[in-house]
Amino acid sequence: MTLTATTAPARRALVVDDVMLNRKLATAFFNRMGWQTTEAEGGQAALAWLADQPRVDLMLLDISMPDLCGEEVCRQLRTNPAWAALKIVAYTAHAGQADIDRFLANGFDAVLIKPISLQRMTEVVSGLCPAPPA
Amino acid sequence: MKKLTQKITRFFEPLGIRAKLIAIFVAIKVVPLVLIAWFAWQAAQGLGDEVASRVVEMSDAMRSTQQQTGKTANDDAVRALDERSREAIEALSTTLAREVAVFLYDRDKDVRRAAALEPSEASYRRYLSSHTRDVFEHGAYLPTADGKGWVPAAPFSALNPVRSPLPDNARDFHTRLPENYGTKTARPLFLEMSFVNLQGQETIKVQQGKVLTPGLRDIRQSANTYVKAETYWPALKKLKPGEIYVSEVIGPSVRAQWIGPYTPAKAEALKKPFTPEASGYAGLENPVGQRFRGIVRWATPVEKNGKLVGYVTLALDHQHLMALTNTVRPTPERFAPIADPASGNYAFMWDAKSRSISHPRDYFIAGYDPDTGQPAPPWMDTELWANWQQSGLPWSAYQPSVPPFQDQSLKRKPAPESSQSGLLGLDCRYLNFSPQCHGWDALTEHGGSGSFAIFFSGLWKLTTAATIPYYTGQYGESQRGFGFITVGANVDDFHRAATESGQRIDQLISNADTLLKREREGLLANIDAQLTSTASGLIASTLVMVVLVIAIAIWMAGLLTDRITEMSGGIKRFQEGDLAHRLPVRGHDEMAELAQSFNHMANGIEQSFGQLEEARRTAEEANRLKSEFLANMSHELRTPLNGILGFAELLEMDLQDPAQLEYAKTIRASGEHLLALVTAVLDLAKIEAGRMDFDLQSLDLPTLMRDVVAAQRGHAQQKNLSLELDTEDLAPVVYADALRLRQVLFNLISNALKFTDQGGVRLRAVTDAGSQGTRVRFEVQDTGVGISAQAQAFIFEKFRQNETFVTRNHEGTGLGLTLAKELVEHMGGHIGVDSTPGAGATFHFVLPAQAHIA
Repeated sequence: MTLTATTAPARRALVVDDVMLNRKLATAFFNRMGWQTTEAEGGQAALAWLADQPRVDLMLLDISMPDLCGEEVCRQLRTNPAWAALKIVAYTAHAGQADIDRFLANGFDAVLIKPISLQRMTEVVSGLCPAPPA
Repeated sequence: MKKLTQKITRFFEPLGIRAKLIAIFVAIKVVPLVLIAWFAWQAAQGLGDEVASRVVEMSDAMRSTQQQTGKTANDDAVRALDERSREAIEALSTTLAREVAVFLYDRDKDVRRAAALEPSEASYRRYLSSHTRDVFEHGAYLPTADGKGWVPAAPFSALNPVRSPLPDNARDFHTRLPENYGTKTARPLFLEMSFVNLQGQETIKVQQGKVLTPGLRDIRQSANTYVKAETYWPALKKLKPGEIYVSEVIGPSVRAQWIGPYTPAKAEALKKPFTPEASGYAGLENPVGQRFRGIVRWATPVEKNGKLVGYVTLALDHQHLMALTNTVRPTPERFAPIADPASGNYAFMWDAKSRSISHPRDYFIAGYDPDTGQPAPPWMDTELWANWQQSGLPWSAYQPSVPPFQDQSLKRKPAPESSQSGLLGLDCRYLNFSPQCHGWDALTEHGGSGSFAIFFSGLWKLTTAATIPYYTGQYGESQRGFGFITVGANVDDFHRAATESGQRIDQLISNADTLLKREREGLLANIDAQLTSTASGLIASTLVMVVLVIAIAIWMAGLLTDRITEMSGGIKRFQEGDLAHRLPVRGHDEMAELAQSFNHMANGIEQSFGQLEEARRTAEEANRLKSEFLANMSHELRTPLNGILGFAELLEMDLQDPAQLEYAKTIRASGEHLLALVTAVLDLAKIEAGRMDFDLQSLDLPTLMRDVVAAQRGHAQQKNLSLELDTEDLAPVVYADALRLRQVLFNLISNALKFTDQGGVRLRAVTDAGSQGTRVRFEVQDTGVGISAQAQAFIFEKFRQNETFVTRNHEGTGLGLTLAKELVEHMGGHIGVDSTPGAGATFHFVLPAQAHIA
């Protein structure tokens, strides 16, 4: 597990994906949006990191991961009231409408279909976590 | 015939094969069975009827023969007896008549002897007292206790019949007890003896009894004679010596208060006083009644010394004449002391003029009116009585005008007034309700005798008439002589024996008939019982046979149809998917062959189905793998595309060098092209696999069209092309999946913009009311390069654009039109293109305006 702490801005996202490039792209986009990120390379790592009760606003969660799939991670988090306020966004290449509907029904707050664009990501994230008044 | 066959066929069509089989069995077995039973019953009944009717006929014939035989025998016996009786009675009549004649001739002798006497009172007295004759008289009679008859005051002593003293005489030992003639009394024959001188003056007169008036009279005057009726003086004067004058029977008529039995009971019934002595004597009907007292006068000249000096007369007491006939009975009884007029068996005597001069009923004797000396009016029928009354004349004056024996008939009835007058003297000449009078007249007219039968007073009577052969004086004027005797007898009495034997025969026949009837009824009952038993036997056996046949029919039909039912059930199971099911094969008949054939066929089908199923499974697996592969490919391609596109975007943001920026943009465009390809391939794959869901609903078309145009407007502006939505006639609604309709419109507009360099693209959506319901026609018209006719034929096929008109300038997936066609068709529409190369193209498609109501 690699936990990389960057600078400490006001908002933080946890990016979970087993593919390093996908993590790097998401982190780059978040950074452009002024967010800090923590990356986790699997579901188990993400749950372990979250077990320390860090302050995190949003979780960008890949679905198809070898150790623990994103849907299972989301299910476990949604059973824990401590994470009720955590926004969980699916970050997936499963583009089928049936998949999207299922994710939204099972605790995900939004879905970002790969490939992502900065515009689309900005829309989704600012929709879930509006910028605090200046 | 054909129609009937068809009808029968139609009737049986709805029935199952089992029912048909049973029906056929019943038809070919039960119907003949019932018919045979019916014929048997008919035959038995016919036989029974025949036997019964023959028995009835035979017994009727037997009875008839018996009756005929009995009747013939009886009739013959009756006839024989009747003839025998007639003979006997006729003989009796003639015997009586001769006796009377002998008696009368004896009186002729008497008068001749008297003429020889010295006429003197003393000699005449001696003469009278020496001339007596025995008569039999009945004693006193008294009314019976019940008042309905009379009985002798001194009953006759009954004598025991004599029996045969020896067995040798026992056969037909027939005796008669001493005849009961009554009390024998010697009575003077003559009531008067007189001498009449030549002047008609009685000079000597001697009388016996007090019937005649004493005193010497001038007999020239009838008024001085008996009942003022004697007229013998003229006759006397004509007599020559030796000649005899005989008068008629002369006496006063005796009246009857009523005809028939004079008894206390009858008097009471008639509400009349019972004075039998005042009414005429009538034998047993009135044994104490007033007697007819008559005389018959004989006279003959008396000579003295050869010189006529006068006439001697003798007045015969009429009772001696009556005694000759009154007690005679034309029955085995022969004689009786008293006549029984009610019995109908008695003898009468009539004078030469057919007047009654002796009768058991004295009031029937024709008498004279003592006041006038004329004959009293006789008993008359209604017509004669009425005629006489109408004449207003006394009978003696009227009588000469009445023809004798006028239309005598049993149909005539006595005049009631005549009957009630009490004057009932029978004068056969005028007794017109008594036709036997004329018969007697005829029988005796020439001095003969005979008989006939007549139905009189409710009985068949044989009546005889026999001339009294006495021809002295005036009686010599006709062959009838003094008159005639008639004997009446009930015919039934003659043949009583025959009647009794006839009754016995009838009884025997009746008994035999009863027996025969009983036998016949027994026989008929037996036949009936036999028929009943036959009928019940027939019915029972027929029923048993019918039940048996039906049971066999059901069993056999079951046997046949069970296999068919089993077979059709098996086939049905097989049809419903139980391919492993096989029909049981039993025996070696056609059914078994059929089952075997089916099983062979089923084997083949099952095998084919197995292969098909295997192929289907394989195909499904392949398809599933393909879908999975496509899904995976999509996923796997999107993952690197994420990096490519994302980092290219970042590069675009960060790079300052225009050449480098162009490279970054190229990377991103290529990535996006690849993404579009991936997306299209995935959609097509989904459609082909039937995994794409269409959410069909009524869509607000103007809004949707504007959104689509708005989304593409930037793209058009980049190429400096116009993009217009034709809002005229814009259809308001369409029934489709919003996402897919957008996708189709997006693809077509993108394509149009892609292949157009000048001008622009125009979009229309109009309502098109066609034969298949209201539809919406979409048109995307461009002013681009157009599409050749050749190309139009296959531009909707996958990946065909590259080979024809797509150049590097016209980047595309090559799947857009294919996808559009698939989507339109899946939403219930169709797509097409009209184009002239160089003059642009119009892509158009139609979709239903509303949900199709099936």
